Amino acid sequence: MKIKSWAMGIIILVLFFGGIGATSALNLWSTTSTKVPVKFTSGQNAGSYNPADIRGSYTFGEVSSLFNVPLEELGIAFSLNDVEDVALFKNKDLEARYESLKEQGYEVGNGSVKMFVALYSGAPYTLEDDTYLLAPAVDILKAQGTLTEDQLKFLEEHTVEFIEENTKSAITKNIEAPVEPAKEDEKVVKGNTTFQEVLDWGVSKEEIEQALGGKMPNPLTNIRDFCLKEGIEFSSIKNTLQAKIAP
Amino acid sequence: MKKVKKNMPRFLTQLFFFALILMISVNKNLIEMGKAGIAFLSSASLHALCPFGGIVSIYQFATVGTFVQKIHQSSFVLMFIVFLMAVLFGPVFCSWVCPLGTFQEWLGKIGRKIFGKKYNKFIPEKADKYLRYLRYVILLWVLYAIGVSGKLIFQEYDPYFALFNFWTSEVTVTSLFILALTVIASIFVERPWCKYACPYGAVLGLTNLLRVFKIKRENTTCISCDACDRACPMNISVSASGVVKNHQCISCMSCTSDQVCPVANTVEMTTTKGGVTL
Ligand code: SF4
Ligand code: SF4
Repeated sequence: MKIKSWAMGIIILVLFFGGIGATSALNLWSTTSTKVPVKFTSGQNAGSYNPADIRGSYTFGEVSSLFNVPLEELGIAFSLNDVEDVALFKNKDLEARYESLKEQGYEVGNGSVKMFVALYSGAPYTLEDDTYLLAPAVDILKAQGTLTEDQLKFLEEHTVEFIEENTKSAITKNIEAPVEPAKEDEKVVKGNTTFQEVLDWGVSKEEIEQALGGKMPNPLTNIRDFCLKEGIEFSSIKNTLQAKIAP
Repeated sequence: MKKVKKNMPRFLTQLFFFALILMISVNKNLIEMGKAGIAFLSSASLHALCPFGGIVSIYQFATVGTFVQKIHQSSFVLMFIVFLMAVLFGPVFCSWVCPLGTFQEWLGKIGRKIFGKKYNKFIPEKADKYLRYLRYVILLWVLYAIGVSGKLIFQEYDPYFALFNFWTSEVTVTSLFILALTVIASIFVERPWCKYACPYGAVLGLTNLLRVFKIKRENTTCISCDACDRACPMNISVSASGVVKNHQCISCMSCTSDQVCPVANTVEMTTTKGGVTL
């Protein structure tokens, strides 16, 4: 059997488009990702999907069904209240949505989805220092009550608040602040409070050192930064000090 | 003796696939920029339409059951189609479909204008013979690197991806550099990327050893004019072969009696056995 050029051309076209046609009829032709993340192969979570493999092209709907995270919670966690169909929202679109945060060095993107899903489902995950979560996400995670102390501490440092205000956005990096923003003259220990302020509010150095269980550093040091550096839990110090501040 | 100078069917097929891939790529970029795309066209990523993606994925698919990042099920389908074609007809993909091959070929026409008969004969035969195995080295390296990382690292070097995406930020400097190198080399050598570097061509080239339809030369009618040798873009000496088994043959059919061979039924793509290997 011989083949001439014209026949060759036709055979090629037929094989190509016949093949594509046949596979799409069988639903095998997909030019989008197959959306099957890798699974853990060992350890407690063996057999379940690894959140670290969540990709930017995944939609929230897919993440929700693959990792058993309710869609509503995902929507709340990433503040998608104005998005019409959260299920169709793609992870990679987070970055553009929270561009203003990224410009300030707090990236909320696909990495944040991975982190949220991992913490939500208790899967092993290496926390990345350049990844941030929005405050509602952290609230959800905390409400679950399954976070380890290390994770809590990490989140304290990696929470951003996204406030949309006349198209401008502002951010506070501090979730420990009360829901209603404290007024300047209010004596509330927050993430940006220094030891000096607490001293000014009438707490003695001894009391502070007692709370810290050690020496107080330079009074101008930020309390939370100091706690983080020393590995002390900021929230408990905060509460102790708050209690000592004269109302 | 009728002579068709140009292989019209091949030219049209190449033009068709070149235009198709170009439009799909532009379309995808338009859509990603938020502009209306071309409605009837696919906006698939080029990764989805690259049959080589299927190959690089086999390893990972076999071990963990997922595709390499950015590779899609469609690549797998294309890989099977191209592979089937190659087992039947040899690497027709290279000479009839691959837009990068087409691109090099078109550039080569400029080189042919400039250098005339000298074109495509600059590299000393001895060195050339060994250089032609370089693409297998590259293939092994690509498979190894992807097997280790699970990422589509070849994209960083791929001139094919660069060619159709040079206006986007997804393209690396390395791949643009390799593309530029390919462009320049194409003026001197026909299909330099295919000959020396293409890992996919390397895979498909192996089918030349077992393909069903072979390029066969009939010794009894051959008048030893060497027209076939001169026509071969891959510098294969067809006139010295009974059946072309060279791993570099791309099944372009330029050497056949359909195209340059002046004697009818002498060089053909056929299933019949025979022909004497000299
Ligand atoms: S041997 Fe013939 S078919 Fe093969 S590449 Fe050369 S000219 Fe093309
Ligand atoms: S072109 Fe045809 S006749 Fe001339 S050498 Fe090749 S096979 Fe023989």
